[in-house]
Amino acid sequence: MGKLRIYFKPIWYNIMHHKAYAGFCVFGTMLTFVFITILLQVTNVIVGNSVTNVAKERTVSLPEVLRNEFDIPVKGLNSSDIRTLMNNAKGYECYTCYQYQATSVKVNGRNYDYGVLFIDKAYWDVFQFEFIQGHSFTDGEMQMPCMIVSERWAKKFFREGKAIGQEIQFQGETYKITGVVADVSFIAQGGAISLWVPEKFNKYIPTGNDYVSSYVLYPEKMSVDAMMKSITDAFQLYGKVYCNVERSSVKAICTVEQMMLRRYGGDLLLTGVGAILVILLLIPILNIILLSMANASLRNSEIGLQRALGATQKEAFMFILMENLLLVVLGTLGGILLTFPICGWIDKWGSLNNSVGEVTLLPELDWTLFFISALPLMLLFSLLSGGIPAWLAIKHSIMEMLKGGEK
Amino acid sequence: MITLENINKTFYTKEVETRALENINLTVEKGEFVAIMGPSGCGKSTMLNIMGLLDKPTDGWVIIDDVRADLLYDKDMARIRNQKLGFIFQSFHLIPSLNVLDNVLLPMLYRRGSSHSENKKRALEILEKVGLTHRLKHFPSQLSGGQCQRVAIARALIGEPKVILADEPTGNLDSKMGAEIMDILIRLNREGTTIVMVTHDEKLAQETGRILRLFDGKLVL
Repeated sequence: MGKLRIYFKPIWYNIMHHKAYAGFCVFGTMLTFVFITILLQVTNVIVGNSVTNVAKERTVSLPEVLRNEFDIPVKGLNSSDIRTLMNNAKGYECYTCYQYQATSVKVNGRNYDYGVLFIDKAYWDVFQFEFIQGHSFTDGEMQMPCMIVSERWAKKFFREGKAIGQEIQFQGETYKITGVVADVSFIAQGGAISLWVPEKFNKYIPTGNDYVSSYVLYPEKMSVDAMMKSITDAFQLYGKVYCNVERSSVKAICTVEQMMLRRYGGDLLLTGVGAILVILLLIPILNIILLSMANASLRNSEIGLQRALGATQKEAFMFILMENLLLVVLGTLGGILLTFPICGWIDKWGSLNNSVGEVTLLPELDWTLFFISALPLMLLFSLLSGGIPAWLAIKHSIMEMLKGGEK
Repeated sequence: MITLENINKTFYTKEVETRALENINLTVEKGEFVAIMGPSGCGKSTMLNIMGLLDKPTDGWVIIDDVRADLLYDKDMARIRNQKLGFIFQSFHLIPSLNVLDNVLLPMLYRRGSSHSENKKRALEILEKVGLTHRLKHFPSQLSGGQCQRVAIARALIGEPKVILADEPTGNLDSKMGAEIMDILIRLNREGTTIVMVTHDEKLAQETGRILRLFDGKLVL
């Protein structure tokens, strides 16, 4: 303990006596890691298996409109059409159809504009939301004016988010809240959705059409090819039999995984993320290298003395690096802690919470991702920003360092 | 104990080549008190630094305790500096953030297997020897030049080195302080510590056992 104290005291002293340098290192690292953490977490939402994309590689999306081989729209597909179509599909676990309508919702005596999703019972099986209060619709509740709301929405309107049993009015009906689901990223959800109601109560207002979004969930062991064949065959057959379309366009049929990648740029997304990460790391690293070099040169005689008293080059290197590592760790932790307030700020001011939903960019931090990505990046950041100046400093002869080094 | 054989040292810069030491041969025996004298720039400090493995000769051998030290790896040289040599510098080189006791304990940070409590006990004994028991918690900025040099002497002694290499230890002190430091060094030598000291002061040099004179990088008799 005594040895550790003697080792760290000069480091702490130097930090306290060069506050501008230390502050820049911590603040620069902090900002870098806020962006890196958000970038990695958002990328993870797109390419990973977070809710609502838990089974994205085995969930297939169907188009809302049937088109012929020339891509000309032939017929909008409603839930009855999808039911007929699915009679010919094989091997799937379940499927869901839903429709989105923007409407005015009366809550706590005031009207607000929100988007409402009119869903069937299988919706929760396909998208696998986590219920934090109440439960998904029962068979009985599917026939009753019930509603499920998101965590953020519940917190916005009810004390401590206790929403179960509360009543909401819209389109002339009073709905009782029976469940609250944990927030999911609007990126995973593909939109701003925070209210769910049984499909029976859909009055098709204001769109006036009954086209539905449909998703089919397949078993885990089924190959993507088999899934696609099952659904495209059924789709073609439906087109031929019910719409007189010899060959329907199946371009829009894809797994949710493919859909997410298409929506957010596919391979370009991953290359872009990689490039941005490199830029985000390089700029502060270069700045910190220059500052650390100036700082190390100020401490040349101290490092020279340690070498004279018996520190090896490696120990002197570690001594200089340790200071940088402390600052970078502090900055990284600060950055991670700042991620949520900044996401909140983005949610609030970045026009995410528009008039149709209460949504969030990142509902929670994926700690696994932090340990496998952010932590190694932090170590790399520290090794480069602290290691290069440390290596340059210890290259000098001890005598030169004792004299104060090259000025 | 320490032998320099055919030591040459040349400093190279872009414009000039400066020959600091030329064909130096000398041996410092155990228990000796050797003074190195000579005008400024004659290579005294360079020679002391080469003896202390703080600098490398351009040519020649440095032998410490029968081991060719100039060829050792960095970690082995560091071990010799830590265990066999003690350094006293003209400008003290104390760490401003550490108090007197911690400055003295600093070399033991690099001594593997040493116990902090035993090191501390020994540091207190040495500080008593150099008359600084009442300044243990003081920082270098709170001490006089003479006191700083005494801390540096205590730091040089903590590792029980075989040789103390002192580069103008009284150079930054007034004559009274200088005499006090010299008394301490003489006492240490009498107790068996080998000392090699660079000095400009003829009077102090006369108090040592042997005087080596350097002129333009060469030893003169």
